[in-house]
Amino acid sequence: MILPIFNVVFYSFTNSHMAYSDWKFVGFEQYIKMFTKDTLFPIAIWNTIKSVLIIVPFTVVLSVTLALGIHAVKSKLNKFFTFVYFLPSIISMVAICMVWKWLYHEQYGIINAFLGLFGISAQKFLGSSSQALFCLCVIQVWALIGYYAVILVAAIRGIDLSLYEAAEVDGANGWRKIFFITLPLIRQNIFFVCIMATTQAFMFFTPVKVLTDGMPGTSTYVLMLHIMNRGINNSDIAYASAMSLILMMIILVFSLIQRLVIRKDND
Amino acid sequence: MKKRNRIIALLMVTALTGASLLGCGGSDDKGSEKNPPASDNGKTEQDAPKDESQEVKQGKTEITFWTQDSTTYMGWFKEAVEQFNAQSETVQVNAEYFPNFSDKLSQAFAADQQPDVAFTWQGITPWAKAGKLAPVSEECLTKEEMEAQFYEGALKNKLYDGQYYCVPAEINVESPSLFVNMDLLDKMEKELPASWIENNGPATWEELEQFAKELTIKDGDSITQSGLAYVYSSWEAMFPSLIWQYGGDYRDEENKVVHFDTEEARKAAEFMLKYCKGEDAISDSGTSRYDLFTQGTAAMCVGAPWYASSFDTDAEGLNYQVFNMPAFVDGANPYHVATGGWGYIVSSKTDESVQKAAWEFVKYMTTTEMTESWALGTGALSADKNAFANLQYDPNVGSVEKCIAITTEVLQYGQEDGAYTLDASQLLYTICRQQLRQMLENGDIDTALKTMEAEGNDMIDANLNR
Repeated sequence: MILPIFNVVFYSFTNSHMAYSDWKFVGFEQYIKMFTKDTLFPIAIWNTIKSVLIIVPFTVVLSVTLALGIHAVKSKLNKFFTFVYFLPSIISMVAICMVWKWLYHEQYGIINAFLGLFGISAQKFLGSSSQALFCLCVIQVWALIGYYAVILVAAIRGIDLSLYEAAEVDGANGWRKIFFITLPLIRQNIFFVCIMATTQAFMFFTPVKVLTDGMPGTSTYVLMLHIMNRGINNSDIAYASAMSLILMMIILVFSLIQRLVIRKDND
Repeated sequence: MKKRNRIIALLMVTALTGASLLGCGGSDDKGSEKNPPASDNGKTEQDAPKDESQEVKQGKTEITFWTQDSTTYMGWFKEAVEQFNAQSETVQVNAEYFPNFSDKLSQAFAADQQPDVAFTWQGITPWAKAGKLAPVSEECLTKEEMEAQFYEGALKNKLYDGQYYCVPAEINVESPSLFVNMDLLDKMEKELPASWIENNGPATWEELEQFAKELTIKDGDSITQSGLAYVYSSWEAMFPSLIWQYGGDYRDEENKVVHFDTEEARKAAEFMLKYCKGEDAISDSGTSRYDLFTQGTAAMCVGAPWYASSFDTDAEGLNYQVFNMPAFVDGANPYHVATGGWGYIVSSKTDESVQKAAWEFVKYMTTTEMTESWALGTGALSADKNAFANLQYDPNVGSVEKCIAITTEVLQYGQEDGAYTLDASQLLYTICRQQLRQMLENGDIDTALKTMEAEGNDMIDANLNR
């Protein structure tokens, strides 16, 4: 694990190119280029931040809701629902994207057919600059929530039942039990989901690459795609390494902030 | 007990670390005969469908050959390689096909794990400059033979330091073709102008624009059916075409820099925005022209000959017609990009006998008959001047044959896209592409042109002075 990270740091201070064997140290040239010359870098950063702001809250809220819902089902259906919601996390993201491509299709998609029932005109979804990024984030959230819900269900099952019984004796209803017992006791797990969802949102890539490749215009052009385009397509491995390090720093900062919040909460 | 656990843990950590480090290592053995790159270059089994239909005859030199895994390419090459193996007494080709082939090949070259022969469209000069490619062997084709056999435009980006490093199969033309969905026209009860069939296309842009407007369907500001789809899917090639047609040039007379911050480039960019944004729009700007056309939401689209062969797999049964595009600019010639495209390269990292076998294979694959056959199978224009001397086609029906035949007629207006930059492909299809997309998003032509020029010149500087 250390060796690849060291390599990335090393390359980012060189002019390494995939086609050539030779290289030389160029100091902070790649970083200066990133912040002063590359007009796509700020766009990619901004689109990535927008993705994080969409993906993280939706993932956390929906996975918690789903976990509570699954836990509330007391029959054998509980296991069935757990399996069904977990399923997207074991299916290839590319396959998921191909299914969503048709769901979003302007002419033949189910979503537009459904909207049509309410008199809403057909939407372009992935073909619209204003809708495409959100539509891609929906796919990511859909694919992730089942996995996190299963983690949270396990945490909920670990809560001592006597706490609920005591609350019932005191006259607490279902909502109160959720807000005053369940959620506080699984907060560590929710924070874990937050950190994981944030990391995955910053590295948002597969739906973008498969479905839009950054288009329309640059409306879905995220940082991981920029790194891929520069590093692999342009063979500019040094510049791609520098951008990867910046991405790593951003994720690290966010994770540390979340960790500090948890620690403060524990104290 | 604790001590034993510690020892076990230590052993496991050591084993894991060792395994990880082994995974990072590469093989030093480049001898293809003993250890072909196909088996040790890190590719996974699922992304490398091997052609195992042939048995290796004793005494044959085995070589690996890579290309992309699209249906048309794989279909043609499987048969061609089989034919070669059957007729060759000395060489056995093991073909492998990859998705995302250009990325795969770049990474293989970076790791010095390239195949013995590859068929690629990529810019080859950086690899030639780095000493990773073998110059075309005189046993395969001499320099004079190459210049006599292939179009000049197809050869320019295959030359480095006075030597050819790639034998071209294709002269790559972009955006000279006009495709019409005849079923959509029937549905709209529109007749194709009769003169288009006689003249192989509309006479002027105005005529085409007028017809496209009639075929465009809008819902408010949104285009639900494009009259003439032209955005994305190599639309970058329209940009130099327009610059040339407006009388300018981004290429430098002294072959040192590129110029995009010019009046002609500005007009070209304005043209490209005008017909996909605002009230004059005839093309949707959210989806690629190829997708719009194959999904039946574009009545016409600008394209290249390869579209015709891809319709067979992507839009089976599509009833289409194909014509040549008129010049976008009134009174100009229909200049378009025509440059070296797909071709065969041979690795220099193998021993002499393997290289000799590789060139024997390349020689077989680049005869006039073979490039003709490949071009027909994949919808490309053969780089061979002698190909398609008598190609028969029905002018009333769209077909690969018609597309190739009529495009050959306008090849005289084809322009090479800047081989002196050492990577014109990156210039057009990465740098210009990204800036055109950004321009489409924010409408800022000035910044897009200035950035194209700056990034293009940075790339040239890096390529030339490395």
